[in-house]
Amino acid sequence: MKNLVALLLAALMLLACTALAEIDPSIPTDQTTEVVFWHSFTGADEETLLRQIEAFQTEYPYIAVKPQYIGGYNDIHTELASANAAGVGVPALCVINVPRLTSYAEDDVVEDLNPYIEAFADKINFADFYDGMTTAMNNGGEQTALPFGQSGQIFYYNKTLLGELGVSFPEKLEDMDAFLKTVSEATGKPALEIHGTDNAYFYCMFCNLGAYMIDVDTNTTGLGSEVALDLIKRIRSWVDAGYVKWVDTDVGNTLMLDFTSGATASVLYTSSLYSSYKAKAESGENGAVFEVGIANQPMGITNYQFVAGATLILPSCECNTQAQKNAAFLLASYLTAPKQQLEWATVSSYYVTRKSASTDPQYAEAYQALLEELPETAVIDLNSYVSKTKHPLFDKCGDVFENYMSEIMNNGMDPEEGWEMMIEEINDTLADA
Amino acid sequence: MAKKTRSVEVNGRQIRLRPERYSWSDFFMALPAVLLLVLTTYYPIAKLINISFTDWRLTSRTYEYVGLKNWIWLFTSKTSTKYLLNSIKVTLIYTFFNIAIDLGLGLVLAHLFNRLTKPYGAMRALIFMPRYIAMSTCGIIFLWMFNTDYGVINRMLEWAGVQNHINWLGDGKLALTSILILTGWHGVGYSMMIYLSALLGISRDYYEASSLDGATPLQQFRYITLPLLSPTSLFLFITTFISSMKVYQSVDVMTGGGPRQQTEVMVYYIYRLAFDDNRIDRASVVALLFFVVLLIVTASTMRITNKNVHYEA
Repeated sequence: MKNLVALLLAALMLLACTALAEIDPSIPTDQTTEVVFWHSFTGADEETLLRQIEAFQTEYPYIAVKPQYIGGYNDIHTELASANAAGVGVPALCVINVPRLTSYAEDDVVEDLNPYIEAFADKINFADFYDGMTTAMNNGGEQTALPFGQSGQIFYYNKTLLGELGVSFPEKLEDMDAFLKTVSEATGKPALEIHGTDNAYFYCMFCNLGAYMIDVDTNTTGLGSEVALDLIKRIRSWVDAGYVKWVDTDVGNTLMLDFTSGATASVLYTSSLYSSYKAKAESGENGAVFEVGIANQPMGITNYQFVAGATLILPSCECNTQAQKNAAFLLASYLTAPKQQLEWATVSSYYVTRKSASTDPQYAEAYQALLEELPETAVIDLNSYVSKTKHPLFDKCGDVFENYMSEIMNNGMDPEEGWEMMIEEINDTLADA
Repeated sequence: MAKKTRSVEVNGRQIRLRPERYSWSDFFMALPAVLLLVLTTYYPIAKLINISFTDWRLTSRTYEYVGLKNWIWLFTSKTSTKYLLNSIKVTLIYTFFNIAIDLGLGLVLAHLFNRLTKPYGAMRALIFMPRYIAMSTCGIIFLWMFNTDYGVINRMLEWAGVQNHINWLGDGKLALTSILILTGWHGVGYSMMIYLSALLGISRDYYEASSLDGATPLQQFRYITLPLLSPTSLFLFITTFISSMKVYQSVDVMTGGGPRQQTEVMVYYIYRLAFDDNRIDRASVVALLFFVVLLIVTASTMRITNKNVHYEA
């Protein structure tokens, strides 16, 4: 009898959970459902987005989308937090960057998309997204976001110059020394410039040698390992030799100008600027005409790269009706579909988030068009993209990491002393949660 | 309504004045302004105090009261005390030099351009003009000017023989100086104009009389101009002091508090806590502390400097 009651109770709880997770997926067709969509795109990206939204509205005439440009990711975060606190003016659909998702999920301010994925299974082939991307947006089993304008940390290199020198961009971290020396000595300029104010770019190298920012089990930093110290010393030796320039002010402009004017042979930056870099280098806008090549992060023990860029979230606010949330999810599904993603990638250089885009014959023509526009896209291995450690203090620790790296690379701080201070400060930060 | 009898003393005799009348209409006339003040100033302060006793994260809709937990964090946590003390130090250094630039240079410029002719008017307008440009715009312009590789400042230094490019914004020792150059350039015109109007208000009689007594221009400046400018200096000191303590925009655009928190002023620290870390509860205690410090320092400054101010000109 006791067992039976327990079984019944368990079944009841399971039923309750299932009931909680279910949503009513209906969207009235006899009246207009409004979807306010906050985004961060401007210029050609925004034009493409608006065109796709228009096409979506033609397909679903009973849904009226109100796209609103809010500003950068930080502006959106501030606006969203304010609207959320007020409980009014929260959009039905919103663009936000990957690092925010952990705290959003923790504070329960976004809808779990799993019930929507289930309810709209015929509209969204969820398994078709690259696993690393969807996993990065999954927090404690809840699907917090859909991958949208995804980007990564890649190397742009002067393909023409490297061809003339007879060298290729290293695929392994161990080959970096020889490459940097050869190119720098041949050109008399730094062979590589590194984005120094966003750890996302240089942190990959540490991770691929097994040194992680946060060890979740001990709540301390994994950068305290000798491997990390050795890499810091190694990068410093590159900087001292003039092989590498660590850029920590006005980074975006400096990297772009240095690379496209021929002041450096390669830069480590975001993949989302590929079309822009390519156009400037090929037109010789800044004084040098050359072909642009791109490369993945060099292999260490692993060859991970981190999922970054824009995602689509459904803010969980009672100020939006279930029908509005459904319509918003439908729009998100539409915008992240292979066809739209291919079009989007061709214009913006963001990655195509769908596996089928390059394999399914129905998209062959669009994929070919992408490769014609951005031929090096094929170099990127999206299967190697993974999530950074999901920890609410990851970014704060990252700030400390960036600060000390700048001091060591550009302001003469002793690498070992800086490393020790950095470890202490990151551990203090983690202890201060 | 209440009546209040007042009297004044004239030549040793007490003269009673007509009783002052108060009416409800006075109160109602002032009410909209009072309500506005309560709504926009006192309510947010009360709310800030309230939040400082909660655990409210910016992205969370709910919060709980946690008593003095945030205050204890502020004074005992290793990271908070480090960042707090750093931001206070940076803010005070910035304030000191910004006041020195604005008041010192403003006074010098006011003397230089103290001529009521058209060319001087045009030059005054040129110096005052940056004040019309939004600080964010100025920040972006200066960001380019201070660029290590392509900035016009390093190019000019290169022509002058300095071959090593200076990392203005990336070097911790220079970043705050770069911000001071920007804010000084932006604000000095205002001080100059205020000083100019005060200079024009000083009667020429003082100078003529002192000339007859054989005073040198330097003595005239030391013993006439400077004391008679003291009310203006006090006004500029207080307003520049408060605006310097609250500096944010130039730091945000130029350095984002970096490198390594070496330009992280208090307001930027509060912003970072609230919007980067989402810890609005912790940001509230720092903001309250900042409010109290500002209040005490301003009141003390006024008390001390008031004694040396001459109001007769």
